[in-house]
Amino acid sequence: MANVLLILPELTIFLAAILVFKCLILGLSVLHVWRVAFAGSLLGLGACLITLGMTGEPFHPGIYRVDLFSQLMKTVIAAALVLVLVLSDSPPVMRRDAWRELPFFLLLSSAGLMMMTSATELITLYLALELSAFPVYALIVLHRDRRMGSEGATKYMLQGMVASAVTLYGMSFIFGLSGTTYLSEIAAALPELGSQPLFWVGLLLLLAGFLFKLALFPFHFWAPDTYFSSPHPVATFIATVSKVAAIAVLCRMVAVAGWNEASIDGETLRIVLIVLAVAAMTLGNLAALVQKDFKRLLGYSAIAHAGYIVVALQAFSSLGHTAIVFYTIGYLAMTWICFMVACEVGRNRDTVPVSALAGLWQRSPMLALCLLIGIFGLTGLPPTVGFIGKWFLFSAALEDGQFLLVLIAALNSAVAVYYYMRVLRVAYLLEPAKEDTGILAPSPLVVTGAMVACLVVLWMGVAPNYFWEIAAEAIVALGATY
Amino acid sequence: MALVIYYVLFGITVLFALGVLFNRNTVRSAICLVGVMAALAVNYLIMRQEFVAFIQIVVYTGAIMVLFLFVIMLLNLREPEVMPWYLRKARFWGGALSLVFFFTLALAVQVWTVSGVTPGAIENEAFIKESGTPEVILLSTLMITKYVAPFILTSILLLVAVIGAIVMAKRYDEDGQEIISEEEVS
Amino acid sequence: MPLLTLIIFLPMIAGAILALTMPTKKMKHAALGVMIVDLLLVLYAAMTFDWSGTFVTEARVFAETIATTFQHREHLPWLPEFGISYTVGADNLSMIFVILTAVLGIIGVLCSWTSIVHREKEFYFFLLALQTGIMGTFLAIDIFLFYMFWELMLIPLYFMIGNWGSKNRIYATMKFVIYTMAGSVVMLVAMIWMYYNNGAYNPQLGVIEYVRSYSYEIMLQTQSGDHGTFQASYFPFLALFIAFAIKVPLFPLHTWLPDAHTEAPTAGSVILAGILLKTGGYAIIRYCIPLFPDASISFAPLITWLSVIAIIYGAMAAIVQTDIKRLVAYSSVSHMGFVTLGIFSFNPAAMSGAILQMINHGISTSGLFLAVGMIYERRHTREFKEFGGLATNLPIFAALTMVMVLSSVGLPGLNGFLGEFNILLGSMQNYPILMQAQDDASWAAAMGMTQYTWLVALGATLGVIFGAVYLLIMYQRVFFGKLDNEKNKGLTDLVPREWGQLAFLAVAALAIGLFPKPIFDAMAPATRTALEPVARVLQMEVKDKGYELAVPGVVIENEEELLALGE
Repeated sequence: MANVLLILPELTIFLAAILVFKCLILGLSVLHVWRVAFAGSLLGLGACLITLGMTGEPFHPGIYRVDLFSQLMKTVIAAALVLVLVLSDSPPVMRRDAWRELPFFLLLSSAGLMMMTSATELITLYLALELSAFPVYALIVLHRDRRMGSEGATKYMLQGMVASAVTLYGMSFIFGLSGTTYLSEIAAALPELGSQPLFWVGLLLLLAGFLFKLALFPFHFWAPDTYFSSPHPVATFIATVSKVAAIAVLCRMVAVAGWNEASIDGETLRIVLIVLAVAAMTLGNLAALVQKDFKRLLGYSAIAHAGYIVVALQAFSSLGHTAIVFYTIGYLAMTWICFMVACEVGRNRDTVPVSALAGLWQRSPMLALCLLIGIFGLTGLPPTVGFIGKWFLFSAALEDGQFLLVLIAALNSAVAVYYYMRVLRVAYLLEPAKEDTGILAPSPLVVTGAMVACLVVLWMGVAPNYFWEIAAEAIVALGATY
Repeated sequence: MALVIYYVLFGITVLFALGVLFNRNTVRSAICLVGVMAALAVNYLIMRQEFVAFIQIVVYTGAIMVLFLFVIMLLNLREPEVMPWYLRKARFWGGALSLVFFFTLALAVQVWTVSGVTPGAIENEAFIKESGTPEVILLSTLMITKYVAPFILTSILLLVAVIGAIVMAKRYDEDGQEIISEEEVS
Repeated sequence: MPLLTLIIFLPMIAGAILALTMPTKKMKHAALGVMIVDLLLVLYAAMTFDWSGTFVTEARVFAETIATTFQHREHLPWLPEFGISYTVGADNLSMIFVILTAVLGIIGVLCSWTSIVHREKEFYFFLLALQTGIMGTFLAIDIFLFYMFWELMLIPLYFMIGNWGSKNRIYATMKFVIYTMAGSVVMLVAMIWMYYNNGAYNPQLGVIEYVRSYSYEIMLQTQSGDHGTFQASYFPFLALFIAFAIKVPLFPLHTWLPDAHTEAPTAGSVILAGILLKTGGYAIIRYCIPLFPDASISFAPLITWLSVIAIIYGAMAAIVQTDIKRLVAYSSVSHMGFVTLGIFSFNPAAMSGAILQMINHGISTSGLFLAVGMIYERRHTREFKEFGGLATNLPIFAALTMVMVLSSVGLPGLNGFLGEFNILLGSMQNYPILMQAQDDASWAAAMGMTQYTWLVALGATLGVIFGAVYLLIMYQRVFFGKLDNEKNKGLTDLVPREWGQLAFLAVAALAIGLFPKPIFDAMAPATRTALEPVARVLQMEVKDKGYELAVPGVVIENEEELLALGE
């Protein structure tokens, strides 16, 4: 029974998905299906909160770990899922016959993501990765403009498949060398394994699938295109929920490989990560400068942010990991706010060019204010979490003495100011275009969600103590495992 | 010696895989895929992973490929176009390939029987000798103890894939527009 | 009572509440009320402030008990794991600027009274929020907190210029934001770097003991004996200095200023010129010099020359302008060049001159921007050629503008003279401490001493002369001559609200010009604290070279002399 309680969040979300499937078969209306899914995701969030303090292993020992770290990440995933579902209530940009399936796939993918955060065994990890990806592949195709949908899905799917194949390939290396797929056993064998170059090659290949989800440099190509051509709520899901799990896995992998005193060769991994981070930041920011589409711009900004996160990841320290967990929570809220605005503005549009935001302050002061907070967060201006989070990330890297890297990151965030401010310029300083002057009135639910997200962004920015402590405890729990 | 066998087999696998990619005719592509699967199965066999090898043959080469062919034939059965240059002398190539295949197999059998040792099989073999349990039972035991989570996950994954495929393949009319019935929207 | 916190946050919070509750018509009255209350609070703080410079008390910063000279100090732990706290406090230096800010805040509201008719509520909210940012910048004594306020200043101004500015406003505001952000992100890295390298040499143990804290008070005691390495002093100094120099702005980093000033609404220009530029100078005096005396000395020659270039370049650029506002903007570049020149002369006279120059610039340039704003409101143009002979039908306006122009030119008897004169005097006798010990010219040169001090002073003096040229030409073209443009004939003279603002600034200019003693007295302790670490380092270096040093030269020497000249 205790075991069931440990996997309560995943179970709740999965059962909700099954229930939604049942509703689909019964032919309930869009609204009803959505309501069931929403209730399910709320229950999932509740289940996460219940299990927040629990520690244990529900299956065979070593296969699936439930601790504060995983449960915190699951809570974040569940909360983000709730927020995404808020936006997924019959979005006009999707094929209308797919409206009903949308919540179902979102729930399933989230279940997969949740499992990723807990998996401590390579095959489980891989399957969870696939479980989280399949539903999304299906969802992108369901754009009402069939060509756009196919384009986005093809790009996402092909690259996702390649990345996960590479992951599997890397896993086979590690299995071949260590004879086990259990992370705990790999960690124990690390002193011997660490001296073999092949192990590090395998580890890097293994990380590919997760770097892909995070949209870090060599696996970043999909992000702008897929954000651009998938239905807005789906893009929101990809940009927010699925990043969390990828970050969780990266944290866990690096904690296994990098923290260990015995792994002298961890330096190799670090150098690779540094190079990737620099490339991702520079490329993301420079490419974002010239973007005309809002979602595409957010795609490039996501690449840059992946770089910022890796800046702290390469420090291989508990400070760095804590900073990452902290920043992830904030990043999720900020990105969601921006996508929420994109969803609302692009309610009847296939794409959301930046020019569509023109005069937002007239059309909906509420959305304009949200956009302001979200964009300030992404820019890294106080008093938002974007600022303090970046401060933590940079602190972690500087503690480690990575002076040049942080300088590059800082200069990059100065470059980023231009395109973020350009968005605000359009939203605040320009008059609305002739064809869309209508007042935008988001539904009360969206308004509530937006208020919660804005509150999180500001709260974490002004009084980060509470979140920081939780993140720090979670990382202690993570570190205690290996 | 064993290495040579491996490389030859890998070469064949890659050739078939390329065939899958570059054939314009779908049926021919599918047949190439059968080749890939079969070659992989032989690989497994040489590595003494009999279980995997048989599963490979039964599931992939047998069931899945038949399904593939069904779908292809239902969708667009076309007359093959003009033969590409490398397939002009199909008989010659076919004969050559089967010869290569035959010799490889022969070599494999020889290596297997003479030396009795194949790379990669050592651990497994030792384990079997020790426990005395047949591989299948061993596998299934592992599947519900040590690897129970992946086992469960796989089943969920298959479910998702099936539903995803259904949703993606749902009604379209000629122009690629979706067909919406009124009661569905309300 | 948390007096300083109230002073800092009252404008923004009150502004937010008012913007949500007030009817649009009443917003400006409410904003004026808030600004007045804020000024009263500031005045109360100033009255209860110990200006003598002898104020020292013990304070607890996390685990350490330290001596501090900051008054009205408030300390709240914020992120103790990172040594970040909410600490505000005032010393003589910040108090002077806080008073200036509070006064100019009121003028900022008054000068927008009729010119802002579009999205009024937002405008006044941003104006009040800007006030909060500036007050916080002056009063924060935790560098993390300082950085937050520093960034906070940026946001309202971005919107003020972008929304209510003139034709090229969007270009100007983007340029302004990108320039300032580029500077401040590097500052961010430097600050974290300082946090990790913040330590003092412990002679007993023979190691550097690191203190992890963002508290300025702690840093002042650990870092002031900095190690003169790239790591511990040059990099952070340069990073901070560049960020501050962009705000000042110093010569090669000044290009955002003419655009931002010209395109901003009048209130924006007034605050920008009057206070915002001062945050740069303030921060250099507060952070760069005391925390990194070594690096300051090393870079002083370079900065001195850049300042001279700024002075001459700004003046020459001003001469060729055809737009009055742009002319005034370039005059800012020139005037602020004096400030950096004065600061990096490491001389009490020049330092107090630099502080005074900042106040003067706040008064006279704000006055000039107000005057330009008033003309623009009447004629909707700022081109010289449109004007001429305005003195005949706008006599009050002409008279008050005259005072502002003369104050900016530096006429003895008005405030502008004292600042510039002190700076010139100080830069002439660069490094008084070393001058006393100096009997080896080549060594002095190797130390980066300017043997060319006379050249520096000459250049700066040229700037003063140019200043007279462009300002007087501007005045002559606009106000004298025949009133020949038909459109100018119907113009009405100033209303009491308008001339009240100008008259207030004129009186202030006159008062400082005639009775500078109280201000010099108030500045003296600030000058002393700022120069003390530099003096200490110089003294040590002199000793290392085997020279005898008479007395540390941190004394206001020729004060009496100056006062005599001033009158």
